[in-house]
Amino acid sequence: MTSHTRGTTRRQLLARSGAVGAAALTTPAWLAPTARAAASSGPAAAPHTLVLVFLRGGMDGLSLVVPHGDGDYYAARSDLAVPPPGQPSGALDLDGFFGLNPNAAPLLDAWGEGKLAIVHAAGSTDPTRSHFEAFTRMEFGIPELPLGSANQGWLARHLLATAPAFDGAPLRAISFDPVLPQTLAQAPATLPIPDFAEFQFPGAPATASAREAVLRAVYRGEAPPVGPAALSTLNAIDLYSGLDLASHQPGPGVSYPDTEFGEQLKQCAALFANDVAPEALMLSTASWDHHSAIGPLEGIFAQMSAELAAGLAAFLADTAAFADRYTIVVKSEFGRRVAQNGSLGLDHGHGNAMLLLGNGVAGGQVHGAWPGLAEAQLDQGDVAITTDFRDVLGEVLVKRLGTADLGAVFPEHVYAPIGVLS
Amino acid sequence: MQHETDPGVEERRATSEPDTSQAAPAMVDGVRSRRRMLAQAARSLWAAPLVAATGHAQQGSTQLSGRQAAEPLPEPLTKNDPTVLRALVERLGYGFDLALYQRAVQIGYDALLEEQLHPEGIPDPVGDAVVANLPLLSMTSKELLDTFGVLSPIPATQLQAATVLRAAGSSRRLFERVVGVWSDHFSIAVANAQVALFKVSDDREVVRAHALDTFPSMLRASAESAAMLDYLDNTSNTVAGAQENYARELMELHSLGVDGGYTEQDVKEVARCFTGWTTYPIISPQYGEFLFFGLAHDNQAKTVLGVEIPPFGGKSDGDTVLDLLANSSSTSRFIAEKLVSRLLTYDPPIAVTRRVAQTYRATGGDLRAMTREALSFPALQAAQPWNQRKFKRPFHFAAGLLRALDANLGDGVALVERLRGMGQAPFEWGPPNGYPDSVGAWGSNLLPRWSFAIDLMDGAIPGTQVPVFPLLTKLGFPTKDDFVDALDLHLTGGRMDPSERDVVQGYLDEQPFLSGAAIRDTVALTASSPSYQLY
Repeated sequence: MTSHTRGTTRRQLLARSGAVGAAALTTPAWLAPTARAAASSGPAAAPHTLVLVFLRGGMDGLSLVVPHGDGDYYAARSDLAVPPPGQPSGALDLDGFFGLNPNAAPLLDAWGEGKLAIVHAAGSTDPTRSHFEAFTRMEFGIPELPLGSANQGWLARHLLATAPAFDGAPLRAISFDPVLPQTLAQAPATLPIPDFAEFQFPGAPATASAREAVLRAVYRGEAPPVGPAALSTLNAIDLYSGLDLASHQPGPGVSYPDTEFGEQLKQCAALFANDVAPEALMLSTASWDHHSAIGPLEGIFAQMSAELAAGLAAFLADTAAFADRYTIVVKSEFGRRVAQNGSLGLDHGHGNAMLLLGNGVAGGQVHGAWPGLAEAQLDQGDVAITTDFRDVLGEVLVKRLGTADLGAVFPEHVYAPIGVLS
Repeated sequence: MQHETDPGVEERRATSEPDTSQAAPAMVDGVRSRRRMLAQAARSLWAAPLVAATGHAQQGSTQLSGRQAAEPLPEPLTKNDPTVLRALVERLGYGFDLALYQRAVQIGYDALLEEQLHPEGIPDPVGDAVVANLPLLSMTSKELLDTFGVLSPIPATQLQAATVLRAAGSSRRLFERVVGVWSDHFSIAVANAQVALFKVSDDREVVRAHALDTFPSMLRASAESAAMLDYLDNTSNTVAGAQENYARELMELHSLGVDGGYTEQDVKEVARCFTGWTTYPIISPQYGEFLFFGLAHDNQAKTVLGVEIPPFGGKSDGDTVLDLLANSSSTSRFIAEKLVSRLLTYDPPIAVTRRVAQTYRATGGDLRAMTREALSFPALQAAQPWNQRKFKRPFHFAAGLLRALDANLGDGVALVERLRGMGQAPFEWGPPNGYPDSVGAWGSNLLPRWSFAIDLMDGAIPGTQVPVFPLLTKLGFPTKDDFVDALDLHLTGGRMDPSERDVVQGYLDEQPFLSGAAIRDTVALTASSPSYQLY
């Protein structure tokens, strides 16, 4: 395939991005996983990508993964509860106790095929009910430490502690937000790329090569994050712009939601289809902060969970050929209060649902211990936490992404995986 | 012109160790010593022709310097040192402005600061034109409703465009800058059409009306702003069931700060105090105005921050809370920190923040006085912004570049779209904590800026143009050899790193002559360089 971008061929693009030799034309050599540095990595793992979906604002896990077997749920939410299975607009039963919000029906197939695992009453031991404090502590991986204790995202620390998984790849992580999330603060070889359609070298093709050389030279040696980001940008443009990721055609019968999130998931699928997916992909959706009129069955929550489910299901279907290559983790900074408030909404809470999707998850199960929703079982009126989010993420890092020393990623945490992966 | 090999280049190439701190200090360590060396290498008088073209032939120690030979940097810097004046001018608006610098030379540091602190005394043709061309900016919410309906995207779009036009063209540069600071502080997202409609009034009557007034008055205006009450769901906060969203963010984000000493119980109690604080409904002729709806108010006694609030206080419950918050020393510190870190450096010296907080307490939160203190010469001397550089956020970058190039801006709508692509369209940050301000948040998203710069010069941004001949006139018709230096004088006051300058000039040297295309590319490359991203 010859790319006509800026007059360079794909061979030249690969050469510039560090691939080995002309033979790289059909199978980029950098796809082969490296032997990782023994001191900092676990046993050599097959190439794997973490797809992290952060639902910002405090997604109401009780409305998404409904504890229809728990009477206290119905007592607390006389107007907002999702009815039990079998009733009109009832939850879609998962395991006899939990059910899916009916708007999340597209995820039922994944559940049935064992590709969807759920952890309920999960979250951060950080007691804060402030979004911004919660984001910072969760994303820096320091829920129990003072705010100034870390300045790097937990995912950044993982990347810094492991050798690049894909030899010569220009990027190790991509975020789909223009503002880099704290999860990736100081991550190496990481860029925000909100839209691959815009990820092209700008200006006239005739002068592109000379202008690129200028940018490389002026940013060389500039301190992090700016200098390395400039270099990563130019190397990544060389690779990605020739692949036309934005015009990826979904597989037959696959339909992404016609939203920004849907478009981003489609571009993630394109990365896999073109064999250029990096070690981590991060997407965020917002806002799940439903203080009033949450509408779990027909309102805003319903729409957003429908979009989430449809998007994830489309992605799974579209990447079936690469299904061993990734694990999707869906999480939020906290859940919402058990009892409804005066405006048919919910205030900030604590324990929440996390979702994991992919071939390698221990699917078809809701993991973790259910603490119950009776008054005495709640944490300041909120769902208590029985599974630490670090144990869920940690299991993915250790078993799929080659992290040997989780203590470097989540300081002062005793890792206790609960078996969300198969 | 002979150019010495820059000794800073070798040192700079050695800098690439990963740093362990999120914010600027680590970035600056590599930059700081290089900058000092380069500043030392760059003390000399600038050539006359350029100065003549800009109207002031200033010789002497206030002359902006080029990139040339070394004299040691006198420490500490004096108030009329070019480095100091340049840093002040860069902080009095978005980006360096040569005319403003020359005014600083003429009337001195304090007088320029004072002038900019009194925007009402500065004629503002661009600002006036914006208001004249966009009558909706002056409309009440009811008028907007009657003119556009509640679902129209026009009020938001025009408000965003006006914000860009003002930032890029207003003579009241410091005023627009602090309006930006307080817009972020009391951040409201215009994603919801009704909130967007209300935001037109909020921008005018909360932020712009009080940005150089007192903080307590801005806080009170915000608490009665339909945009804020709707955005943070306080219109649903009633005695039938309190709703905490506004109460929490009022304390966490607007006044005390997250460590300001309030508890979860305080959040609940404050929410009760603000029950009934709502707005007139859509059918009312007073749509968009504040309404205290007594029937929705929780009349029982409350306790907030240790203070007992007796029952049946009605609206005064909320007023009492606002007074408590405005008078809290936590608030004085939090607001001082916000102002100083936005205007000066990411991590300002405690002494500077403390003085600004003291100014708050001594003046009842007078923002003009606090801004004066934050940008005073002692504050700059202590914070050393020329060594502790900040990374321009996209809005800052774009507004400054448009201004420096005297771009024709059109209606600004296409510029808002480009800012969206850069991640910072006005009023589009979703959560109420406002756009972040750190090199970690913005420093790796460079491509949209490079694209903006070249597209701007190539006329590829609809409605926007940088005509080349007026630009050359403004630069004093430099030769090809002098072009980058001449341009840099206008873009950064001659602060561009010499090795970057050499690379960009080298690009131009390769072009056969100073053609329109060569000029456009060179301007875009200069604006894309690391030096231009910092202030």
